[in-house]
Amino acid sequence: MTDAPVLEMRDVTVSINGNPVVDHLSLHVDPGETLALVGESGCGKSLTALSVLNLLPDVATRSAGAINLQGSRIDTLSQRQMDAVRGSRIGMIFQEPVASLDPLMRIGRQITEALRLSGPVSSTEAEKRAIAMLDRVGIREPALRVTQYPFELSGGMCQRVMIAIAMIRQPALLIADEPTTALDVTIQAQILELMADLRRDLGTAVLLITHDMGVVAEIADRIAVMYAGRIVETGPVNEVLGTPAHPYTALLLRTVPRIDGPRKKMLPAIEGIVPEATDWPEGCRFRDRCPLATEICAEMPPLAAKGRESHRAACWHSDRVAEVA
Amino acid sequence: MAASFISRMAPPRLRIFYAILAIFVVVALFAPWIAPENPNSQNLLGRLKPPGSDVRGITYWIGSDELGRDLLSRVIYGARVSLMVAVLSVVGSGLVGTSLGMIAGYYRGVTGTVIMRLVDIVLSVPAILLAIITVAIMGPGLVNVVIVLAFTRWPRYARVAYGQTLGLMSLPYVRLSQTMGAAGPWVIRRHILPNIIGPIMVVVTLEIGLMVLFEAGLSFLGLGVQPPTPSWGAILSSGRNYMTTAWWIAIFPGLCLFTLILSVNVLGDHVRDMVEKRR
Repeated sequence: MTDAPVLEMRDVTVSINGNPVVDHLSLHVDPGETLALVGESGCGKSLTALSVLNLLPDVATRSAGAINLQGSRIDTLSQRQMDAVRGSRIGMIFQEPVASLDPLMRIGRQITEALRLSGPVSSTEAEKRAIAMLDRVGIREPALRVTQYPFELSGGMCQRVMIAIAMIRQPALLIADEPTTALDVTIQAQILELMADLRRDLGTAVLLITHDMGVVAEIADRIAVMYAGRIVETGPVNEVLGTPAHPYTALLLRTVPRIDGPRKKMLPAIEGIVPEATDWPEGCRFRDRCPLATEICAEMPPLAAKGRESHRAACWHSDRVAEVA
Repeated sequence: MAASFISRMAPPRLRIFYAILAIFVVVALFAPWIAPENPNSQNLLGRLKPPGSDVRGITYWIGSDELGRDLLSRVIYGARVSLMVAVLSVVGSGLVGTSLGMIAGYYRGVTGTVIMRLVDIVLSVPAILLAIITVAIMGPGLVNVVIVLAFTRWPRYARVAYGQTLGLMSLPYVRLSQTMGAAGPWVIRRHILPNIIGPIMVVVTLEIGLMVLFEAGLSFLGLGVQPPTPSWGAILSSGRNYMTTAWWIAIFPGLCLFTLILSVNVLGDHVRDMVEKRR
């Protein structure tokens, strides 16, 4: 295995109507690693993921930056060339498992379709592999399931099917956009376990997009916290969750309910909302909502190392973050 | 399963309309065996005979026309022309319109704009005017009627297909297919078409009735099927001159038009209700 990161994004900017909504974002995912991209709704997480696949919605454009997949640039490829990358080298799963399957197509067809996209396969061979893959993602009676339609399956099963579709061509990178949001907690745990399993067996790197800190703690190796189109803190999960160096991360962690926390107390929230891309404040974009903000915050803080080189945060007041936690 | 499907597709109150439609289809298909007389053989002694007349062993069940031709046979053969024109023009316009609509909805951008503006342009030209121009260039006749109807009616399908495709584009399963590396034609054929075929079929059923009417209209104006080929519109047109003396010539083809179109429209409404209920 090479040391080159599976995915490397450098200074990627995505704009809507000329306003950057993802602003000079850099991140990398190493082989076999799970990187969690965390942030509130509307901070640009999903656009970041779609920009990797070059499937941004019509209104959004990628205006700057470079994206490398296993050491080669993919942001300069044409849509036609990207078709060969999508699915075979990058798989993606979404948060609506039931809606992500074609209601009028049998499960088996939907999985074998993924195989057919990368070249001719005999239908018996394709079906055999589909059944094997369904078995692999923990669906019982796979031979029966391939003949069924999505409405005959539960949400959790549909999510397993979607993972099967994404993984059957063994992509190097799996992008999971809130894969467990629509599922209940028990199924959530099962799906996360399955993803961890597959990652271990197949060595797939995972870019996990989520706003659920519980999910992050469970399966991520590293975390990147996003706020208003920028990464504000990144590092190994234990360090970032244990000693956050950005007040936003600290406040985000405080909003997670704890089973051993005080009862009958209001769950804390972060004051205000994520500002629109059109009225981001000068300098640090979190300063309007930040309890630690001072004059220096009018200047954009760099993503600087805190303690260890791998743990970085974009805040002038990292040493005082413990105060807000 | 089968029984419930039948009762949903054809509840008792609608069976009469299915029966009418089936009768017309059978009559059109087997016209040569069903019609009592040759629809074009004239009989000068039996001109403008009222229904039920007997002239030299020939019974004119619903009367005869101004050339002594058996009206019943002409109406039976006319069903053939009407249904054939309707089906062919619906198939033609449906194929063209649905394909273009899906392409416009899938790719949007310049392609979509060009196609949908073309739709607007075609819709802005009156069908009758276009028919007159086409007939002037290509001459009248059954094939040309089909071409004119297909050419003027495809925008209906294009608009429906376009709207439905736009709606599907934001659905996760279309996006999933794209993230799997599927290109446009693949997605359109495998995911878009099967999922919009319901609403398209609604347009198809409603258009069939309209096409029967259009063919009659064109033939009435003399732009459609040419004499002596019988067509309901053409028979109606010639019967118009004898309304006061021989009412049956215009009344019977008119009644056929009325019942056929009523049945098709009622069934079309039913199909629409079922498609909408499913969503």
